[in-house]
Amino acid sequence: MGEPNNTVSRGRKRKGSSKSSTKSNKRKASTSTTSSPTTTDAIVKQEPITASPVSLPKNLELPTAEISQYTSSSNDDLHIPTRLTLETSISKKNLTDIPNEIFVQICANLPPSDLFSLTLVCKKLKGLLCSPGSKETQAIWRNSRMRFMRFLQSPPPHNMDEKSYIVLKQLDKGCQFCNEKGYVKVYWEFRVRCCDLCLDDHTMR
Amino acid sequence: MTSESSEGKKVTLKSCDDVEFKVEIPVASRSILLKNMIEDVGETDQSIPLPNVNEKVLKKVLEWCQHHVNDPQPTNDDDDSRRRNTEIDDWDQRFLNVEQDMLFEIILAANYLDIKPLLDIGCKTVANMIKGKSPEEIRNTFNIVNDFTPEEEEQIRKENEWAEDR
Repeated sequence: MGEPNNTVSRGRKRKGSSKSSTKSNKRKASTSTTSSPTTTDAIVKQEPITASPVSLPKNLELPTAEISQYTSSSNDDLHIPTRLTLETSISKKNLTDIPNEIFVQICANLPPSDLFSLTLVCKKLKGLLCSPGSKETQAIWRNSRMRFMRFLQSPPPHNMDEKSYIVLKQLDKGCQFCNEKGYVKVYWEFRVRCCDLCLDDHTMR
Repeated sequence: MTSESSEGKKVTLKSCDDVEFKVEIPVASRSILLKNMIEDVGETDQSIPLPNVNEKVLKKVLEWCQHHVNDPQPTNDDDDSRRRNTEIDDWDQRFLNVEQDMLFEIILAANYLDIKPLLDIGCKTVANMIKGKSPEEIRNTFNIVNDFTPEEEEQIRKENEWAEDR
């Protein structure tokens, strides 16, 4: 229990000795990219304790009512940018550097045609969308098929990945050989979608 | 802790950049992570550190929680119907009309804090930014560099036309 106690007393000490420490803190603060808090909810800035939520109950046993007495105005100049690296790293989030599970959830809102566009954006996204062995790839195409291809609710044939299944079942795209838009059919054994004529042309009896 | 006794009671949340927010328990409980924590530890004056969320993002997320404080808690049963509903209500649309950085940070925070409805509308918003766009338009929207050679692009186009070879 000694460690969290230290945190509390450090916070208190800093307030008491703010005059002597203000200078060095200000110098550190000048490197910060974080603006001072403007929210009325902001009560105190305090040295970070790195407790993870998992270890929370242990820390919570300690009474720290005195922390909330501090107002943000008396502590604004004491802000120390100890988390600068973390802040920098999380401030540049983009479509290409979010966790895979979130990318999967974004894709759950997209029909296959948009997923095909995403495969051509960059290598990272292509990897997520075109790795038939990965759970994420399968989930992305399956979700899209179930939601946007109402006529295609049954699972793909044995040993066929979700994306290939969708590629073949895009009947509106016509024959894969001659682009004939009329009577086309998927021949699962050959993994093609084609018209009668092209089937004859490309098979041997 | 029963829901009656939590009326008007507050909990203190601390962002990764050490800013504390005093929040009513029903508001904080929009986050399943926080709801479970609060239920586990009972009444306390100690602040809850959130090492993955900074002040700016936490403030925004709490604004959402405050607005939606009276929404029914989502259950696993309506996951599907909620996801299939493509509508984002007007308030949420305005709420998510932010810089792209912020949008992704809200999504990450909603994921970490386990606020499914917020995660959902965040993901839908990003999806709406992708819908109907060409690969080049998507790159421009999200500031992504094309790292394919023309040959590689041609190859992918082919793969998108044909079933995977086995």
